Amino acid sequence: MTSATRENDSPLLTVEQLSVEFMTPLGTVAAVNDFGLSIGRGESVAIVGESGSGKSAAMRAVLRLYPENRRTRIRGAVAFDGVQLATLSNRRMREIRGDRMALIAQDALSSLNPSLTVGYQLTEALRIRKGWSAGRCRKRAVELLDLVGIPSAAERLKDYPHQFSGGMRQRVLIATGLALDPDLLIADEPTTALDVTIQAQILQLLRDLRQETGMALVIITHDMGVVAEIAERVTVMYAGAVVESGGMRDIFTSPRHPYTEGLLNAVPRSDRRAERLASIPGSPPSPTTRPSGCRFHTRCAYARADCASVPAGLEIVAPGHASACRYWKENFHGAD
Amino acid sequence: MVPTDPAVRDEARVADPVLSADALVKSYPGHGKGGLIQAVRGVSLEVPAGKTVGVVGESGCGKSTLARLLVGLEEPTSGSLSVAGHRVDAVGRRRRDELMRRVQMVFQSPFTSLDPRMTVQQIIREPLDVLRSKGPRAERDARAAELMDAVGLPGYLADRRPSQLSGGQQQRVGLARALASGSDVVICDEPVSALDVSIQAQVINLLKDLQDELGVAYIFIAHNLSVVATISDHIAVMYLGRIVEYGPTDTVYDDPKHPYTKALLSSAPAPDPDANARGARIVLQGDLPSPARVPSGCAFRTRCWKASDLCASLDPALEPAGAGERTVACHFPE
Repeated sequence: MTSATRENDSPLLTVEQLSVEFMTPLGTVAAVNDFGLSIGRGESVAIVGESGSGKSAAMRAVLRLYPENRRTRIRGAVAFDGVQLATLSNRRMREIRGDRMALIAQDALSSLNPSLTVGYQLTEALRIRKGWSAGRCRKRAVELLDLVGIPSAAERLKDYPHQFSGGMRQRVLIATGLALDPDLLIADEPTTALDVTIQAQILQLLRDLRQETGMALVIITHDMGVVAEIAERVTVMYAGAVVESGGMRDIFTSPRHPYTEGLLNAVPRSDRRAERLASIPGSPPSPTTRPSGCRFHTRCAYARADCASVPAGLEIVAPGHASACRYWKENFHGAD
Repeated sequence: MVPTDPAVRDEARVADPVLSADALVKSYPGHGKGGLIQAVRGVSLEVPAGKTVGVVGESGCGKSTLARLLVGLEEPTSGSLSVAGHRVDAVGRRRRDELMRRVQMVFQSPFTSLDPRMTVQQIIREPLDVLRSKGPRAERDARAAELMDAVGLPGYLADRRPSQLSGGQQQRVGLARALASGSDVVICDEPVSALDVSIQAQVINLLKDLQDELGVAYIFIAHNLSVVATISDHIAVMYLGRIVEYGPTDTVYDDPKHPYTKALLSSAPAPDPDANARGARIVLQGDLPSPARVPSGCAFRTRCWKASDLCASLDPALEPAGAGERTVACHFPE
C-alpha cells in the first residue's frame, strides 16, 4: 500500500472548493457550495448541520456516488492519500471506495438487502474484490461480527437482516464497512434511528474500533451530543456551506459563528434545565432559494445591514479555527 | 382565549385531574402460537390541569400504545380512563364523545398526520365542523384564524396545503387542530423528534406559551430525555409496558432511583465535552426484550447489573421511595 511510504503527517483526505448542483425542473438546487475539509490519518471529524445543509451531499460527492450526467454538476478537488479522485477511472474509484474508504449509509434497515443473509452481505466485497474462497470469507465474517460485538457470531451468519434488532443491524452495517479494513470510515447519522441506550453502545463501538484499527472517521450528524462524544474536529454546515470549523472543544466552548452558537443554545439539556430554550427564529432556507450575502443573515440575531449583500467566506479566527461570520470579532468580543 | 363549552367545563371539579388512567392494560394477539404481545402492562397516571407529564422510554416500551389508549384510539384490554373525574366507560356514547373531545393528540410525523388535500384552514376547522354544537361557518372560520395566530402561523398560510409547509409549520398546524375543540389535555407523541434542532426549540417554547395562556395540560411522550425534561413537571419512565419510576422532573433527573432511569440518563450524550468527560456512563448490554416475551419478575432484570434471584421471581410494585412524590418499581433502588 502506498500510504506506508508516504509521510504520516500528510492529510488522508483533502477536499477543496467542492460544489454540488442538481438541475431540477424547479431550478438549480445548489446542495453544496465551496465546501472544504481536511482529515488527518486516524482523525475523527464531525460534520454537523440540519436537514438540507448539504452535509450528506458533500460526502457522497467526495465518494463520487452521484451519477455523472447533465443534471448533476460537481466541481472541486478531492484528494485521497495524495491522489486526485476526479482523475481516476470508475474502476479505480470503485477500488478506493470500499478498500480505502467506506460509507455507512443512514438507514441500517434499507441499506441491507432483506433477501440475502448477513454473512453473504458482509463478505460480498471480499469475494468480488479479493476473490476470497467461501471458507476464508466465512472466517472473516465471524471476525467482523465479533469485532462489532454481535454475540454468537458464527451462528448468526445465516440470519437475515430482519432477524436482527435495530442496534444489531447498525452493527452489521458498520461491520460491512469495516470488511476491507478501510483507512477512512464515513458514517452518515449512524445513531439517529436508535434509542439512547443503543446509541451509547454504537458510539462506544466506534470509539473502540478507532483505537483498534487506527482508521479515520467522518461522522455526519445533526446531534451536538454525538459530536461531543466522538469528534476531535468539527465542521458546521448551514445552507450548503461551511460556516465554522475547528477543534471540538473550541467549537463548544467558544463558537465564533452565530449559527453555531444558536445551535448549541437550542439543544435542550437534561443537566441544565432551562425555562425557555433559545431558539433560532425562522427555518433553514430551501436549497432552491438561498439568501444573498451571508446565508444565515435572515435568521441571525447579530445581522448588520451589509450582511444581506456581502457574501461571507471563512476567516481564520484562531489557529485551526475558522468562521464565516464577517463580524465574528465584534459579535464574540469578550464572549469567553 | 380558546372558548370551551362552559356547561361542559363547569361540571368538572377543580381538584380532579383532567385525565387519569387506572391500571391500563393493552395486549394484542401475537403471531402463531407466540401468545400475547403485552404492549401496556398496567399503567396508572394522572394529569393535573395545566401541567405536563412527560413519558420517556425506548422504542417498544409501549409509550405510543399508551398515547393511543389515553386519547381513545384504542380500547384498553382492562383498566379504565377518566376525564375530569368521569369514567369514560361508565357513560353513554354521547357523553363519552363529549368527554373525549377534551383529550386531543399531536402526532409524531407532522406530514403524514395532515390530510394532503385539505388546506391549513380546513384542517384546523375540521374538529369544529364535526361538532354536534357547531356554530355558523363564519364563526368557525374566525376561530380557525384565531388558532393559527395562537400557534404562530401567519394568516397567508390559511389556503396552503401541508406539502407547501415546512416541518415546523406542519407541526404547528397539528397543534392548532388539537386545540380547536377546546381541549383540556393534549397528548403529544414525539411531537418534535422529526424536526431540526433549531425548529424543535421553537415548537417546545410554543407548547409552553400555550400552556401558560390556555391552561392546557400535556402528556408529552418522547424518547429524548432532554426534551422531556425541558417541558415536563412530572416524569414517568417506561420500560416494557410499565412505569418503572415516576416523580417530579427535578427529583427524577437529579437523583434517579431506578437502575433503568439511571442508565437512560447517563446514555444521553450531552452537547458538552466536559459533561461527557466526567464519565460514569452506564452502557446497558443487550436490547429491549420483545413485548411478546416479557421476562419473569422484573422485566428489566435481563439488562440490569443489580439483578438477583429475587428479581427473576417477584415483579416489584411501584412504591414510594424517599421524600416527595416519587415512586419506583425496583427491589434494589439506588
